[in-house]
Amino acid sequence: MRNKMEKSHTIDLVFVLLLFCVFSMSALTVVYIGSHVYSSTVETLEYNYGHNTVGDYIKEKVRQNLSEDQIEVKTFDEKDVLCIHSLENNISYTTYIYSDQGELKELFVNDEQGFHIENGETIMEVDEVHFSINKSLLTIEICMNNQTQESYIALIGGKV
Amino acid sequence: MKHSKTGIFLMELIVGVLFFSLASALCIQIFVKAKQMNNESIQKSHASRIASNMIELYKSHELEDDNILYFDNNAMPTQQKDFYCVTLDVIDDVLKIKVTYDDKLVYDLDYYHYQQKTFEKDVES
Repeated sequence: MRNKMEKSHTIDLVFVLLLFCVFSMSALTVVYIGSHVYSSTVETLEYNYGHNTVGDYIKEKVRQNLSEDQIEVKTFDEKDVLCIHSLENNISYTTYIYSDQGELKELFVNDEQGFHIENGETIMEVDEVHFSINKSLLTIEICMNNQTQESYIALIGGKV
Repeated sequence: MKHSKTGIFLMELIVGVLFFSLASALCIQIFVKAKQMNNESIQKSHASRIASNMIELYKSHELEDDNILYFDNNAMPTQQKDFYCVTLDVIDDVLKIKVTYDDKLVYDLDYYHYQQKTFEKDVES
């Protein structure tokens, strides 16, 4: 009789422990799936913020001066620099957009002062930005978080 | 009628397990939906960028004769069939762009390019 009582108690304990284990494993699995979904959502948000913001910023700058003779790509210290020329009160200015030390930088200067790569103001973090112009088509290549994005802008504004 | 303590305990456990199963099923459904929405947002973001690039190529007359183009999972152009397929048609000067991902339409856009008029500046004035 005593043996029977002890045996049923052991089974009760094992059953509850087993159930607890299944319960905790399932809870952990649900939390793991949730964290995975959350991390992928954050990655997407970062991707959209990073690539799209840089791309849209540069495109907007170019579209404000959408003319073939205002947009130019130069190379300084083996870095592509987008030069946007403008004329204000008969004084010529140039906006330089380029990537330097992992940052997208912009410099707006009077043409007489000239371009110095270290004077640029930081816009946001980016690995690399490359520019090229081929037959009135500006190509912008943005490298960020080991992903590359390519955008085009047709320079069809005509001469000013 | 007398219920044993073990019976009540078992009942409690069953109710607990059932409640947990329902809650976790609901959570997993929400997670799956979130993942799908996340994937759709990536696809739409890529598709809109591809379409935008196609429009710029069309404006600069750089668009090739191929009316079907393929792009990989990161929206970079490829030669063979890949995740994104772009169908381009020009009908009555309207560029019709259809972007599909795994044969599912994700972006559809019509573009008409209004030709810019140029004015000669009056040199005498």
